Amino acid sequence: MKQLTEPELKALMLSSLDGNEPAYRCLLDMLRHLLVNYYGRRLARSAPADVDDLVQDTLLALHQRRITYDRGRPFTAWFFTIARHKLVDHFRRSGDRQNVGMEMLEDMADEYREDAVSAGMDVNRLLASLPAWQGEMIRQVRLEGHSVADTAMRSGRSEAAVKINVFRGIQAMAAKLRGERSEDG
Amino acid sequence: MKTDDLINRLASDLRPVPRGALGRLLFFVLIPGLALSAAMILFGHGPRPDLATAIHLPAFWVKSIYPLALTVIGITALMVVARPGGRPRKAGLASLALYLVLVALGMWQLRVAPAEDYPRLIFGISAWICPFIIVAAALPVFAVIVFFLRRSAPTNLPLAGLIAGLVAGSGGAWTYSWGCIENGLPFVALWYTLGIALCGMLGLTFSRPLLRW
Repeated sequence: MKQLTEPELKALMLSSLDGNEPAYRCLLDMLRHLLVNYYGRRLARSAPADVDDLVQDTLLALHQRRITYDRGRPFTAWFFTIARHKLVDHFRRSGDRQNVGMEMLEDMADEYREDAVSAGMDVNRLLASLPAWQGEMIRQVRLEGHSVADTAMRSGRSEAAVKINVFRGIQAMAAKLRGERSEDG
Repeated sequence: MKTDDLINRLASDLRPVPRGALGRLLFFVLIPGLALSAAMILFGHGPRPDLATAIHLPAFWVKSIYPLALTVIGITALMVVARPGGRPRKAGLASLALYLVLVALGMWQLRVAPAEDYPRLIFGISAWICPFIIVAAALPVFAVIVFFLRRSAPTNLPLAGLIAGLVAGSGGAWTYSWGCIENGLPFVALWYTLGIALCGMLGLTFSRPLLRW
């Protein structure tokens, strides 16, 4: 299933806030899958019923408290702060605090914090400026942590070609970023 | 219940949320809260008997503006803490700065006053009861703020409870400033602030049972 990105989820949320029911239905459905993933990874020891309860509880919280979403801010950061709140509450209720140190909870939603979200958006935008196959190579090798050999096999190119294309692509992205910065300045 | 059913139910229950809805909610709940607090002071305590002359005293206005300004700062803090992950640092600093200004004005008042006026300016005749009247006058404001926060999404419950108490205390102190007969600014800095702090402690103590979601 395709994972929606921040701009797409945010667009759905803004449309939902304006009362667009199909958009809202789609948003809830997308978020439900994100949540199953999010809680599933963090509740390995618990019953699947707990994950289900948390998913429903979080969707309900989104619905009842959507008034607190600030339209000017990233949606995923808002939403996963709620998801994390529900998770902490779950651990507190089940007395599971020994198993999950509070420091760890601090890190949990990091990938969804605002800076991380906007940094991710920057990288995605820069990757999109490259030819699709080159962007995909960089994504696999540098972002998803696949080996060069793996990536070479999957793309049907030689390892040397993967290395050189990743290198050139990153150079091109860096040049584009520098160009943007100097335009800003 | 199955998640599909829940999504169906939520989607069919969708109503538009206008821009600025959160601020409007807070505004509309605060009005009855403050009105009830004012009614309690007006009818339960009575306005200060010398109000007609007191409104010409700068000390009266400082005493009234201090809690009013704290209330306004507190409202901005509530708007931040009501959203997930919100931490109103600026409002905290602004409140502290405001308090320091009041302390400075109080010191200045002591400096220019003769020493025999000190007990009147610091303790007045109502120091022992002033904080408790403020707590009582704060209760209706506290109730409406809790109502507001229960419809929002504060993720730091102790902080939200503390702020709710402090804002309610400031609101209560403001309505009481129209009934209180004291003119000492050191009195305000000590006993008004103590009353507001007590409200903050109450809010902190009951934050989890009241605000949990």
